[in-house]
Amino acid sequence: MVKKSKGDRLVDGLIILILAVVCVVCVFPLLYVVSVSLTPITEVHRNGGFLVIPRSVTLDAYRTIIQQKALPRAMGITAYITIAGTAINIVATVMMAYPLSKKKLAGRKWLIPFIIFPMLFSGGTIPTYLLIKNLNLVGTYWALLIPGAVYTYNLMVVKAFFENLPEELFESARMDGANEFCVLRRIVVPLSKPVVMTMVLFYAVSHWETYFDSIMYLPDQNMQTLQVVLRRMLTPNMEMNADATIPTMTLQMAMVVFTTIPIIVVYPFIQKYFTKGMMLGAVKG
Amino acid sequence: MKQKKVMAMLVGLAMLVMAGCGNGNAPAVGTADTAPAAQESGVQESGGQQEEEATDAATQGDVVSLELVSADGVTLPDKADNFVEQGILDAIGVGVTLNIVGAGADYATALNARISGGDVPDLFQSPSDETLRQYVDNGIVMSLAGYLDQLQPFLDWVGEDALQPNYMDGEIYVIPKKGRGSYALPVVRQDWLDKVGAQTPTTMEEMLEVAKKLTFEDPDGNGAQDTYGFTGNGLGSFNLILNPYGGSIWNQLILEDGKLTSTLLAPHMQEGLEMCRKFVDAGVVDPDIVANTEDAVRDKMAQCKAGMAAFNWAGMYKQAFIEQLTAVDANADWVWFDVPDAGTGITPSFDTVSAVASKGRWCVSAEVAENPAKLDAVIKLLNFIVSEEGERLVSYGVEGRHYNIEDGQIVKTDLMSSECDFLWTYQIAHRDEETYLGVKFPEAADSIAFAAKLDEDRMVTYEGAVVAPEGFHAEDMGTYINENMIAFIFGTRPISEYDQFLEELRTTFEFDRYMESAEEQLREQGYME
Repeated sequence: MVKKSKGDRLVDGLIILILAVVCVVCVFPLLYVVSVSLTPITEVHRNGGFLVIPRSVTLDAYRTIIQQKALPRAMGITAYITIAGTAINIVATVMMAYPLSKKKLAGRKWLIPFIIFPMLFSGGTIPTYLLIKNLNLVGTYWALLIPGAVYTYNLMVVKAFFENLPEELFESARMDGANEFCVLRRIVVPLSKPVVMTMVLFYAVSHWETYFDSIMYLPDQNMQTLQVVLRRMLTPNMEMNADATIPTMTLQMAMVVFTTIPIIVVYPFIQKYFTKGMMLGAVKG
Repeated sequence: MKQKKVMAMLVGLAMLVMAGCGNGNAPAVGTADTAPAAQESGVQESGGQQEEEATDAATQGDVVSLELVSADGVTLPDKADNFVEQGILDAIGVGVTLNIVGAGADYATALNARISGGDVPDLFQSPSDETLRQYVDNGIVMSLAGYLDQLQPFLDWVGEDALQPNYMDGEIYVIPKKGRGSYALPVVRQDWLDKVGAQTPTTMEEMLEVAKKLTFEDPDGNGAQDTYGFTGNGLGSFNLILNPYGGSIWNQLILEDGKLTSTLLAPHMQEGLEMCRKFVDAGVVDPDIVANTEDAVRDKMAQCKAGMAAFNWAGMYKQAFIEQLTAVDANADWVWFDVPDAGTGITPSFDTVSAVASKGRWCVSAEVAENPAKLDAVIKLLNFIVSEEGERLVSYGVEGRHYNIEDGQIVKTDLMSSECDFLWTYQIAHRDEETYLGVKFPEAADSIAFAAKLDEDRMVTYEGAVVAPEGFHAEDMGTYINENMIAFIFGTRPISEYDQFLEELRTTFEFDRYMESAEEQLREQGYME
């Protein structure tokens, strides 16, 4: 073990300090939101609207949220959209990326620009609406699941990952009598867990945050997703709605926690795949 | 083994997808013309009620249904519990379905996408005057001008005057509404006034003195100098000082002796700005005043950081707010007071009332004009919501449940507070605000009456009736005015340069051309002779 010089230790200390500051900066807003959501509003006011560790704790805000029908219902709907939507996304993306990753695919050169084009030039809001309307998807959850089944960018990432898998592995599988589906399921997907899991996270978060599509395609209020309901509750019409009182800070923060926690909870389960690389040593040269 | 697991998961997911989407297939919004039952089925959880629906559809076969589309943050009850839509159906046999489509800019985008797709709701709120102009030019909305005789009960209720601001090219494309006042009022903490030995201010100078005392004499007694004598939400708070001088922080159009002028040109405007400067220089103004939201002001009041404010009735005298305001200091006693006199001979006033407050936002699809049944339904609906029965339904809910009639007066029940907070979305022609608030907030009757009394003296403004002339950049000028007003008040530009500022408006922003165009438009609309 080499003894660290004074300069090294100074640099180390500095780095630790900077990282600590960055850490505090990252964690503080989250901590603040959670703390305020748990503190009675009087206590928040007494502290001048600023506190980190709550001195007294109340679950009133969360109780209020759960008692309201709209938020838990929207939570259920959004969870459904997230799970079902992500499943569709992953199946479609993987099944499309795999053949495209094969150089021998007939018409590949023609297909890829065809796929990339709409990523750069989208149809725009109104044509998209017309398409979805004419497919009779307006007013159904399909409108949130089908149109975005494959994001071109994600497709390209997965395709690039597949292209880097050693071809020898597939050959050996084919020699054992596996067809393409079998290769995809038994070899490609298990080896591609890091990229697949990344896509799961990307897709899941985007579904969880569905906002505008829900407004556009779901006119029935009872079908709308969490973000729409959240915004509705946080911004009442103060001019016309005489009964409206802007939810207190405690309640606002509790709503934020309530709607973000589920998606944050998923993250640790997926995180391990980010750090774990694929088995690079599978083929020995 | 593992393979089986994967297969099972896939099958499970597939079933989940199918099951979830199955429910959503039912509502065909905007297409069901004569079958409200079909729309209702959209919110039903399972398909086991088909038989019931079939009989419903048969008996209600000749019910005309209307789709209403509106913006805003409101949570409607489930269709089955929506006593307003049910009440309308029972009373006039018109099936109404209100759909809420986002808010703000999202609403405009979503609505326009629908309209471009040929899917125009029967009644909907136009997002802005400019958008309405486009709807009119493209023949998307119908004119009500030819049906005024059939809408007589409705017109009697909103008042004949209400029609005037709604004319466009001699036609009426929006449903007129009842105008409402401003409800802005100045408030001060009486308990702090007592503590520092001050009286409610009646003149501008006194208000300044009071503000100084509330800032520097530690009214909350915590030994720290942490209070401000004057706060409010936004730049408009300074209108409490400027309006009594006949001026305003914005370019607002007023009529003086029949002549059109702008508040920026008011003879005493510079004195008003000097007074604002005195407040700022004395260090009594909340430094966040320009950026404050209503929420932030209320928080500061509750946190005992402000002693006086330019505020509004609705933001503080509702029970929930009073509880917030007295949570930290139970003795906090916020009282309202008359607008201080500036000594200019002008009746002191705070905030303005628009001459075009009855300009509506709701319009009717042009397709309705071609469908006699729907047209009849729209007319019936409008006349119904202003009838005694209908007005009560859309204002107070159901008699016996949400309110009772006692000695001819409407008295609310506890359920009104908990079940009726969505009713306002059905108030297409708005409401008689003072009566309405009186029923909803009997405990706040005094402050409501006071705010309404202030309305009598408020300046009447006409800029709402004026469309900026072609090529005129109204927003840029607005921004420039705001920036300079802040500069004048906070001392970064000397007030002696005020005339130069007006000259800049004329040369750079064509202020005179705007005023000429405004005059022409107001003459055309009959506001000026």
